[in-house]
Amino acid sequence: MSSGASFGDFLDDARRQMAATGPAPAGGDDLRDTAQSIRRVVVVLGRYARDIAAAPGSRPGRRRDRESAWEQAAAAAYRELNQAARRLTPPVSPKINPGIRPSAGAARQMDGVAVVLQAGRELLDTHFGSTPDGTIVHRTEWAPALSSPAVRRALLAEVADLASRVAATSDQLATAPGWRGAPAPRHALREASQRLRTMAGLVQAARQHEPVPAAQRDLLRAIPGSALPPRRVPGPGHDIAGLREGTIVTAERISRVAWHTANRPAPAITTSSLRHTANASTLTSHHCELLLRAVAERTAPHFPAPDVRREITCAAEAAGRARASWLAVARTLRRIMLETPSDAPEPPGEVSDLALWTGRLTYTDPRWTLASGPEHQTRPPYALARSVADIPLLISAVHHALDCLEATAGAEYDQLQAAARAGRIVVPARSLPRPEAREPFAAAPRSRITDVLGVYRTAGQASAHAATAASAVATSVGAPSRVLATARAATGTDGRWRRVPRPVARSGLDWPGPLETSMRDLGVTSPWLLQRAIALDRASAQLIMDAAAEPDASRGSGPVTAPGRSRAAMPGAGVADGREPAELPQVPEAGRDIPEREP
Amino acid sequence: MATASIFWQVQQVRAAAGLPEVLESARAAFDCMLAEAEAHEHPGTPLFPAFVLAATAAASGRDAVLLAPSLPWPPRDNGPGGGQAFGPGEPAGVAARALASLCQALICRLEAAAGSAAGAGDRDACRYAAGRARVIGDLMAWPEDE
Repeated sequence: MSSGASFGDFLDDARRQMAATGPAPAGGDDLRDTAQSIRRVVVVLGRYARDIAAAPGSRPGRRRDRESAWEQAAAAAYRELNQAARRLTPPVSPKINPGIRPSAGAARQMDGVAVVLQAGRELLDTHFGSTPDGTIVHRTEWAPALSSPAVRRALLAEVADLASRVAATSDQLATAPGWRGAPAPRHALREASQRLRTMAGLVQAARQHEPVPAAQRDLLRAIPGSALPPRRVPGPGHDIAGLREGTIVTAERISRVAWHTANRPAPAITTSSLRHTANASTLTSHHCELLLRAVAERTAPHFPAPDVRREITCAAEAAGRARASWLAVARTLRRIMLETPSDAPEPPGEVSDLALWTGRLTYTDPRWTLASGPEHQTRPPYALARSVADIPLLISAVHHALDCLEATAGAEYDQLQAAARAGRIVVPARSLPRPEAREPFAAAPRSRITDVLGVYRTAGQASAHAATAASAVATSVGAPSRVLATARAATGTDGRWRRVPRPVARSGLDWPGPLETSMRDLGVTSPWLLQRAIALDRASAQLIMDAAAEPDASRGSGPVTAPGRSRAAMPGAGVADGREPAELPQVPEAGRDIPEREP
Repeated sequence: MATASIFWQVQQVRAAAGLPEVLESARAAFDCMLAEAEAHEHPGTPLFPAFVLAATAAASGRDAVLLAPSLPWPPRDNGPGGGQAFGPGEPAGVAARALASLCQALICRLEAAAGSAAGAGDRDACRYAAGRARVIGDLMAWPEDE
């Protein structure tokens, strides 16, 4: 995560202040002041409990089991905290409403706790918004995780822990000697303490029934505010720590854009923006591979167990596959164009920023740019991670970068699908088998559209696998970014690419195919040999599809178009290649979780 | 083999007379550069980022030329290997230098065409394509002692 404040900072601060509660008040008004300060803390905790019980922004269709121990605990926690606050509410009387005056000792500490906890709650609230009709909506990619039952449980556990600490403070104050003059506040404190203990006990019972995993607590603590740091560009003076931080911030910004694109209408994509992103993603995954290989080398002396090094090497290989798949996207995009309005916005360029940040981490040249040409050396492993503590931080940066590539592939896949439906994809007529067209560009044939969607899907899958592999490494070495995987698991977004239906072209194949990949991994650059590999890959795919089209073959549920099917089965307008129309293959929308308020 | 094709394109670009021929030779040259750059997109070479970016710039340059109103259509043949897959290629450094020389020829002719073309569409196309050629030329700036 980037170095901004996170929810865990507020929890830590609240606990620190509570532990530092000053001496017991002398009695009389001081005790009443302290009781009111404790009440303020209890009221804030009650607001947390209300949020948890109401589950703002929960996704529709998610089953709420009213009978579950956690649901009961959330409802009871709210009730008990409410009751505790009522016990501490003073009767309206001029004598005990002396107006605003500086609090002292324990009262001041508890006021501080209330302020910090309220600020923490507001930090969480920044991830939600509301529509004019009052419906709560998700504003950031963190909101689905915050609304998930797992994270709500973690939050309730934190609230219960804080409540039990408040109860202990209340008891201590109520039993302190020298209070004979203030029986009412002492009684109120005892009663409130009892309610707080009841609340904590209910949550404890739910925890025993279904424990809160440490990963969920870590995720809750890592949740930042919704505001992202401004866009940054690396300067020649950035050191390794600065480059890591810049990589993470840029990846977070790209993930946010991808999340918004996936959830709200986005400006039209352009040929330029697509090509730009594909190039940058190719280079980013390339840099991630190089960085992971360097870390693997550096890991040996610090992590003697061979498993960690093997895990990092696997992640590097996964990043290499992501690079190959993004390169296939880049190549495919060089053969299509999108018809876009002349006023279409220019790409924001932040994906290039990420390639630049990761490139500056990878290469020694402090002025390295994407256009630097061949003269650049990679950093030696010891320069990237001078101590064992640097390894998790470097892994975090790489993990964030790979994670945002997956999100980017998802957003662009959806936008490209929409462009295909709108008939906005064209190809150079010359690239078609029968280029009799009278214009330089012709509507893209179905096979080309299927190809481009296919390579995006492959890039998404490869990026997802690379992010998953990096996430495993992050967990093994204790990198802060491990919460990314927890967030995906909590929100059910880790299976995005497994849910995308598989449209298969007649000549369809996920680029690059296994033979082409092997050839490239062997270092083969000869176009002649690569073309043969591609042809063989396609022939293999054809064989599989022919086999799948056999009457006895069992089929999956995906809308697979078998090769050699009658053209009549794919109606639409003819195009320049004399084959099928530029009709989008049957690619149902991937399951989207549109956030709405839970009833 | 590949460089022979590139140098043939250099000759075509230099020999082009008149706007339609310049555009036609530029289109073929960008196709040739695209194919050559893609042939060297191998992550094992230090030129990998440069070839990735150069290939995309070549595609953008080709698209710009294709949109030029004065481009003759249908196109002529590309010549030896232009826009098609080559046989076994030369080292990346040799290819990069050959591409850089093709870019120089393209920049010169396209900028001149942009200055003299009567139509705004042709001028814009030539100017943009010259810009793409300059990008590729910068990316392919391989040191002489390599």
